[in-house]
Amino acid sequence: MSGRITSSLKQLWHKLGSPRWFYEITHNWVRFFGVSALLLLTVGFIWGIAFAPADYQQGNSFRIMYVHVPAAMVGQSLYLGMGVAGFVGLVWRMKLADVAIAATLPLGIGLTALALFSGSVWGRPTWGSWWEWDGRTVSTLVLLFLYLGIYALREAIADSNLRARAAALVSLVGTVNIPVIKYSVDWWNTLHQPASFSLTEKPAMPPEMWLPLLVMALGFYCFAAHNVLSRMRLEVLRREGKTRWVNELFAAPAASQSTER
Amino acid sequence: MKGLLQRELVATLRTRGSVINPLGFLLLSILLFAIADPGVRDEQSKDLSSVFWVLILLTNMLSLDAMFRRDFDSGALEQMLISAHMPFVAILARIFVHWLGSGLLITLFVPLLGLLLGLRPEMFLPIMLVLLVGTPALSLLGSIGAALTVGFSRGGAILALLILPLFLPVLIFGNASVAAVVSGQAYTAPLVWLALCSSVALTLAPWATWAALKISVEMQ
Amino acid sequence: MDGHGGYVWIAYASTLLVLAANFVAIRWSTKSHERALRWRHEAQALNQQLNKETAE
Repeated sequence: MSGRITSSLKQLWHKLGSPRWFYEITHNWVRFFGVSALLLLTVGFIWGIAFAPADYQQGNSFRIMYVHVPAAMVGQSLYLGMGVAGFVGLVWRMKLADVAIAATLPLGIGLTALALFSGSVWGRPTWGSWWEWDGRTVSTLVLLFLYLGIYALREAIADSNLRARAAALVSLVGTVNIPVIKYSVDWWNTLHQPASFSLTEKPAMPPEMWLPLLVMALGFYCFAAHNVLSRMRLEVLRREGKTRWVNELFAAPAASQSTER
Repeated sequence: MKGLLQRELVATLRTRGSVINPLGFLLLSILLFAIADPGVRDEQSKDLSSVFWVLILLTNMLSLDAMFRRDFDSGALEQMLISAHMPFVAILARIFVHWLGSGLLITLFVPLLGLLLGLRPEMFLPIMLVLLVGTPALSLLGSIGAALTVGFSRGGAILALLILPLFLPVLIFGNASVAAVVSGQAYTAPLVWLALCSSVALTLAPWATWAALKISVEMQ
Repeated sequence: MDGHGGYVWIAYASTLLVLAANFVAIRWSTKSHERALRWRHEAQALNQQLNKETAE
């Protein structure tokens, strides 16, 4: 009995690793995440910029939080996702894992850079300077460098199989290191805390302030899911371009056209 | 194990440049720093300890490239991964020998560096202790990057990009320890964290280096 | 917007830019790749037809 369960689990696992299965099942997911992201982001953007109340201390610059915090959150989550993909890729040699890493990189780099940029734009009116060596800022900057390291490594290796393994290894090592780096930076930060009030540990935000943040965060996550999955689907098409299932997938409309002629 | 270490040591000593050149870099950059910023000699100067650790990080990075390079070029690395019945131990021995030629050597040179930087002699021993505890983490973490980039003809910039972010905790705790020593405060707390960094690196880094070496050998 | 409006708009605009750039980049490359695949298949089909006709 248990043997049957494990064998069916194994089958599921193989299915999960099959590019074709992935391509077919994610067709609807991409659509779902895309529509959700569009709705949530539209609502969140308008809510954040026009309807959320201004902060009594920071005034309207507080609204930057609605784009800054989700960008930082998703930038970090994407790296964690890459670490998981790296683990799967290293242990089970799953091809799809490298597709996932390659697809996560551009958006991860973009969102982490965006978090740094919007943080700096937020810092100018609240802290009075474009850049403070604050704990979170440093952690985010290091995260950006970790992303760029993997990107540079992938660019440097020509063989696709070895590139996949190297990228998987580095994302795994980076993910293991993130908590250590974060902790040490926080420790360092308490030694010489800059003279500023904390941005995130506010005395209990009222719901009309955190609800738009929640909507924005969900929107960003949906957007990330949509973007990464679309990139993965394109990469699958590129890698499997010569296989039969891809051929058949794109044969149907073309064949009907040629019979019409 | 002993034979392994002996072999590694002899091989390293034969290529003296890989050990001496980084050390020259360290001394020279301290000279440059002292000229660019005369305040560095000032005992109360906060720059001192940070300059110290940043330079050690960079020196360590410079010497990393040589860690596997020669064996990689000669094919001995492939042999080692295939034939050694405990590649893990062999890799650990290699990292240890690298540490002897980088971390330990810098530690032994602390009195000289201290004189150049104007440290009081009673600070030498605590600073040496800090270096002794912190530098193994550098060799261990660095070995991952060295193993990954050994197949590249120009791996230097990528090695830096991969490894320097990982060095950050060592820099923070090491820097805090030296700063505490210099200002005469208790330095046990950062030292314990530093020791923790080194021991975590000791348990995890060799596995990653092993995996990285297997990739690099296949690239050849 | 009590003098902070500029900062808010810059932050929101840059966010929109990053999201839009990521969206458009993947959309365009997907479309063009799919078009290329379809075109390739059509070319193959035409080629086969031609071969058949010449054989006849």
